[in-house]
Amino acid sequence: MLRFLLRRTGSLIVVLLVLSAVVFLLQQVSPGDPARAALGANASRAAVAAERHRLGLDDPLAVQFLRFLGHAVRGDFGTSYRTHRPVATDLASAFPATLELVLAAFVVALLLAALFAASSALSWPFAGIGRGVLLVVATAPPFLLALVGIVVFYARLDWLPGSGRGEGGPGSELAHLVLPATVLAIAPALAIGRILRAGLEATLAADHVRTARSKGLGQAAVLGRHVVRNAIGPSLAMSGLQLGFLFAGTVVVEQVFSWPGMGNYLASSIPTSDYPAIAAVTLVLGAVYVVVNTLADVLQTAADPRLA
Amino acid sequence: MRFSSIGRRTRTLLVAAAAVPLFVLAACSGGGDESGAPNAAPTDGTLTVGLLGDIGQPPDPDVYYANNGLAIVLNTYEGLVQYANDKDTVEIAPRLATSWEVDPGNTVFTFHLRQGVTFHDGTPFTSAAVKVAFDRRTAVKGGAAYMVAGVKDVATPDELTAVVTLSAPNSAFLDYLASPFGPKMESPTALAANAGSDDAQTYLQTHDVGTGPYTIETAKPGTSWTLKQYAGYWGEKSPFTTVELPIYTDASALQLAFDHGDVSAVVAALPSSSLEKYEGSKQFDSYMLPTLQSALVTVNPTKEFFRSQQARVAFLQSIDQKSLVDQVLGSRSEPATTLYAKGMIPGGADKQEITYDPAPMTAYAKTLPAGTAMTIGYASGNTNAEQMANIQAAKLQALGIKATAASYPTSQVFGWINDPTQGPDAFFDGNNGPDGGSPYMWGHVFWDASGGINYFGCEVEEVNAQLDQAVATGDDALYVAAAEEYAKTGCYYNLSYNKDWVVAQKWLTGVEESHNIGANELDFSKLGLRK
Amino acid sequence: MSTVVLPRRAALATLPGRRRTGRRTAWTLVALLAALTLLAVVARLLAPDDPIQPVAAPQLPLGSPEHLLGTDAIGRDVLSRTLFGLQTSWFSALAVVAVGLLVGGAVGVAAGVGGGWVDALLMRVTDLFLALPSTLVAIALVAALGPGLRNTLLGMSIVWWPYYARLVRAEVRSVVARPHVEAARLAGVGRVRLVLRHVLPGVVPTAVVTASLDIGNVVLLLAGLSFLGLGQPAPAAELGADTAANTQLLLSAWWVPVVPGVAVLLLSLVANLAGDGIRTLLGTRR
Repeated sequence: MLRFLLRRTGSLIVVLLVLSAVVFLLQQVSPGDPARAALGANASRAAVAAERHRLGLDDPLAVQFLRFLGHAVRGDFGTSYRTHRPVATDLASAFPATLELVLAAFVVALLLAALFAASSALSWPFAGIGRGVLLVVATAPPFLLALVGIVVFYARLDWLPGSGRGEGGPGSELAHLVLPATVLAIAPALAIGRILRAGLEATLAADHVRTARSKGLGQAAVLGRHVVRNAIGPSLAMSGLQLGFLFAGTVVVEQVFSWPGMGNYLASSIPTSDYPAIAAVTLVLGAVYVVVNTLADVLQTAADPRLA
Repeated sequence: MRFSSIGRRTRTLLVAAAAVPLFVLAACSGGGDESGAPNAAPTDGTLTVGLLGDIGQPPDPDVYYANNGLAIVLNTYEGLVQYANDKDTVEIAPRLATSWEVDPGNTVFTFHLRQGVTFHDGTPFTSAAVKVAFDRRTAVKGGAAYMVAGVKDVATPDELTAVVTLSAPNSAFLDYLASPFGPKMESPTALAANAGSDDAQTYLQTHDVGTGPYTIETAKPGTSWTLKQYAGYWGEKSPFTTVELPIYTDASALQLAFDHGDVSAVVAALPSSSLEKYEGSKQFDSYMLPTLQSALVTVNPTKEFFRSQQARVAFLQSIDQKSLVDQVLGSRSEPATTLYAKGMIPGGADKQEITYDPAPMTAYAKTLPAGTAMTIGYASGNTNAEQMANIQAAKLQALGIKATAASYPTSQVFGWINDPTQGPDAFFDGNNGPDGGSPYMWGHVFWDASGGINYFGCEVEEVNAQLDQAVATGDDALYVAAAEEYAKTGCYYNLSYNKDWVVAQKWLTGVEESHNIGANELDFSKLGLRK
Repeated sequence: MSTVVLPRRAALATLPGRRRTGRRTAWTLVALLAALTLLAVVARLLAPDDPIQPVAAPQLPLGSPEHLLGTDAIGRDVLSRTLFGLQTSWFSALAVVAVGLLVGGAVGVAAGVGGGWVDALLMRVTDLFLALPSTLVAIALVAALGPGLRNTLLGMSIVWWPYYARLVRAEVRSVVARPHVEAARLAGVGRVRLVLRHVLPGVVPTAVVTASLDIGNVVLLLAGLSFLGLGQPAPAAELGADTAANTQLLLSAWWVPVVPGVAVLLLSLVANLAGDGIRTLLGTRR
């Protein structure tokens, strides 16, 4: 187990390095020039050249990459072209908002997935309609879905707030979470639900469960004892993967719901070619994704040591 | 468990499931203008003005050089002068200066300052603040630092008199001071106390040091701003003790929040496609307020397609100004008839002589090889410009030219000046304008390659010289001559005079009185509640 | 790494009822997919109007006599734009999946058949790519390359192949271990011949099923990129871009964004269902 952990940590570091290299290289090929951006459109060529030298942009690529890494490790992502603030400052306020939204969406996704899987595997009556709706909704473009959600639940029914993160107490904050979290959760819910269902069906059909049933154990007890324990492993790995899609999904969902998170920040940075911001968001969310997946892998192995 | 024979039921369910969202969409999106009762006025003295998108830069008067954040800058800071509210001509009005004299040579400006004004930190406003504000602007080197670049000296003969001497004559200097981006008075005490290593720039990202009717209470960049009424304000106060400025990142969501009554007013942020809904609505008020902004066409002379002046003029002539403006901008604007902004040159002597005539372009198209390509650009996200560019591209396509409309990120648009061949053949600006009301501020930025909004560097030495001469003397005839000369290049078309479209709840009063031609934002202290 | 091959994100798929669709239903679904592809091919012929030229008054409502699906903000026929957009979106998605399948498949086969250090090297690289959040990297890639359909497709293709490489490699390993392949190899059958005659036939079904399920994902991701301004630039028609650019009309002329949006939904749905159908027909289990 210790060897496994060491190996896993080693590959985690390699992946993080590759991620930083990818982000760094993207910054290199992007058309924006940080020196020009810092000095404004009216600066002379000589001034831009001097600024390039000052920023170290004329150093060899390897040197620049090491410097980039050093800064990133210390949480220094440069200054945003758009907001004129350090990107790290911007992210410090945006990251908690995104984390909150993603975690809420994750919970909703797991709930929906469990409902989907259980209703299907156990043939609950009429649940097919719910599953059909989930399937259809998951194939709609998310930004359209989000807007329709606002129209229906905010403008028409007035059940939920439509924009922002909510202030003044946990009640308001929770209410503001419901719509964006649900929209964000729908596609992952279906994906996790399918894995869970496959596991459930396979386990329900397995010999030891039939035995358990024939011994007269109640349906619920059977589920609790055998099925969930056996089906949860693959679902765990799938959930880790889905987290990446949740993070990517925030780019669209946060913008529609005016959620002040990293996705919204990224969406505002793209049209202004604010590459330091784009790079930092990619790096931070990417790193979180990689770390979480490593953790999911470790947990899965801990639950089932055969996988090591 | 039934494993097979489920196909048919599944299909039925599927159809039902597909119908659900479609039905919801149709039911909920259609019929948006049901005539409900107007929303109720707030009872807690809170005004909520929805902003579309983050304000971007910090609301520091020496840094801020964008649009919607002026709502914060102009309500927390004041300049010496401003443009007169509720007027559609360029007219300078008192603010912190009650009167002023300008010497005939346009170099010495004497300001008599208002008595009893205090900064938000409680310190009194005196003539000493003028020099401090000018110096900070120079030090910070923001986009509008040019406005004080010509200041040689600020003398303070007494506490309420400031004498500004310029190093060269400049008849536009009062316009610089009246501009929403112009120098604002900042508390010298507060600036010194929070100077840090960057002239208090970090502090001013989330605080203010002005004299305005409101002060920043909470700053959550990217989320919302809250302004609180300044109890010691020298002027009249509105019934709104708190102003909330929540940031919406989606136009439809903002519109829904306004309809719902969660937002009191929206300034120049809703899409033109919603005009029909609000104009003449019984539930809401809709205002069209004058501005110095225009929709503009810029032609790229470095491109092969527009190498000749005749081709450029032919292109401009092929634009059906009236129908384009009516169709895309609707009542938000009117076709422009002058080369400068409306009301800049008294009497409109700067007449724009482009008449709609597709014939020259048709003739030019015939001389081109079949399938010649050209691109009409617009800034990404600018819906009005996108539509105009598309309509014009479609028009050229009908002539056999392979015209396409393409969007460009703003950062790229401002980079073209370094190499105009990288840009499109022509560019549609949905809304652009000068920093202030002097014709120089218009001519310089749009026609002089060093001005900032001359995307493709199409310039004429003589025009630049004429403008420089005109700004020294303030001679309108010279401005007109420069404009007419520049118009000959065929690089430029002033398409429309744009207005600020403000929608407000029925209970909000004083919208016109709180708006001026330069600001594009409302002075919240002049708003009121309908009894 | 103990990477387990897992279905990608919303490898949505499967009918709401049972996993095993009847063969008749399966054929129907595949026929639907074929019909959709045919529709995309002949879209240009079916479109009543030019998709780029304004042809009528703006914002004509649904069911207008000349323009069944109405017109958009500048008076272009929504039906024509949607048909042309269908073509662009559908073929773009096919292209991304095809590139993923070919590149990933080649890497997977090379690794699976080659074994030893070839396998180790190729799979290390693949795992590195797999460990990165593909959607996010695609967004950053396209943002760096600049907007435009070509860059978008390029950016997506770069992140799309590793999944197929993993999948195909796993299939190849299991096929290679089968007795008849083992026997063929011992009988001295050449590598190329071995791959063509024995390995590929065993691998193709799984790959095809996965790919067809995947098309829906690509359609949705393309739409998402368009929403961020990273897709097909105007005025060309593309479903995602048309939906995204017109969302602000949702409150005044809802059909303008909703019609292409529903088309995206249908594409994605049909691709998913047909993927299921193909699975049933090929009898693969994944």
